[in-house]
Amino acid sequence: MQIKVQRSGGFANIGAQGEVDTSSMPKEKADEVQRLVTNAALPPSPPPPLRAARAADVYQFDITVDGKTYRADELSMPEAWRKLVDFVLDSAG
Amino acid sequence: MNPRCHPICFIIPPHVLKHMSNSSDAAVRDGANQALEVAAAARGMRAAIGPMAGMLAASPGAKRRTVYDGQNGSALPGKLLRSEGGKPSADKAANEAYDYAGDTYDFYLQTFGRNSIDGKGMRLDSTVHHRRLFNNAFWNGTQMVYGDGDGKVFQHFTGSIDVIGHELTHGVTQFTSGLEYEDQSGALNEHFSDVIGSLVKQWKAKQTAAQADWLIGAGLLAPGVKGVALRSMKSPGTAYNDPKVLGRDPQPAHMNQYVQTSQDNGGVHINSGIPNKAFFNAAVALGGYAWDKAGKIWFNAFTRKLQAQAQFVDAANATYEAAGELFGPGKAEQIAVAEAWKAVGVNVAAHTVVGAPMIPIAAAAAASAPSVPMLAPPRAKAAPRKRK
Repeated sequence: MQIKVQRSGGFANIGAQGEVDTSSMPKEKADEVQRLVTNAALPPSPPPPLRAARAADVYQFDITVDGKTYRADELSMPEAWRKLVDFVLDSAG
Repeated sequence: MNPRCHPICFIIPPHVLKHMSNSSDAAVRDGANQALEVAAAARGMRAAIGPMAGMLAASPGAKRRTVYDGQNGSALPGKLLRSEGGKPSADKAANEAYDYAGDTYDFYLQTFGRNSIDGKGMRLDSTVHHRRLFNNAFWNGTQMVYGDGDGKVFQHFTGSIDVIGHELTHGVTQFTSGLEYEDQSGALNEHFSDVIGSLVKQWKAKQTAAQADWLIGAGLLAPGVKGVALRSMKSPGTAYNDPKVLGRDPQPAHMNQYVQTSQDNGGVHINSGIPNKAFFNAAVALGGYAWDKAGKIWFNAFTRKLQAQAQFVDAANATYEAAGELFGPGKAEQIAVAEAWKAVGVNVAAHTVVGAPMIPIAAAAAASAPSVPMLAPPRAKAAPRKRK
């Protein structure tokens, strides 16, 4: 499983990105990624972008899992998505 | 669905929450019930203060600020740290959020006669210490939120007065034009926040347009990062150039470098460089204190003349019209505004060349296209109208 996260926007608009591939990870890490993805319960087809009405300067995240991209801002994003996002961005170091 | 009560809860309609409160999922149920309780409490509060609301709302010049400690978590607003008239906190960021929100409030009232975010004395709420090492500041639709920065790239976000003026102004835009936060209308939303952020800083320092640095977020970058700020209104694209962590400031200063992207809501923090440069051009051409002329023109245009889907050309037309109303049609101010936009590649519909007779926007729009092709180039959007 390949997961890519792209962050953009925010007041400073400094982007960040990260990518993980479970096929090239130690088993415990791969299991952790699998757990985070399961918890995120991403719908089979990506819904329209989740955006908090009236918010400004919040981060925009694009989460791509095996080619499917889910977009959400930091206020509308379920906490379980956020955990997955943080893991992938942290992996990028 | 996130069961915890994030700000998004407030935009979930009550009937959906009621449905969710019957959910078989305990977490969803709890979250919905919690949101319903908050909504009920708010209704009760409104009922209780209803008779007094007019009095509270119409208290001109009554500044009301509240600062909360996010305690490095994501819940908002957090724990109360300081409220209006209270003693300074031991927390530096809290005092900065309080003081700079006060300066921004004073600036709006004294310069433009506007009483707070909603024009009716709305309380200014801020949360500091949001999340951990958070490199951002934002407006969530009801309040300002500030991170501490990671110390490597960014220092704490309350350190710059223009950041606070910028965030508070997102609230003003929400209550006035409601500029949609994507593509050109989003870049205009960002632009107006940068304009007021910079003007508050200049007003506080009593600087003329010529003396000001026109930087947004000066002092935010951590030591060692190669850059002076996050954006430059004077010279978009030059605020930083740091190959290691930041990359290069991507802002264009002209329409011919407009950036098409799906990131950042269509580049709202990128393409704002174009109108930012136009404002700088107008302010410097008009001289003196930027808030006296250019600031007033922009304030009138952005709070009274723009629609939510306004494009750059609509902002150019609106500021031109506002300049005519404030300083007289065909006067130096109006010409400076048209030239300021022209220099960034945006042409005011009713303005052609200096010395040519001025045709009011309404007349130009009403005239048939063949007779005034130069004055009214075809546009997708209608000319900006006053908001009802």
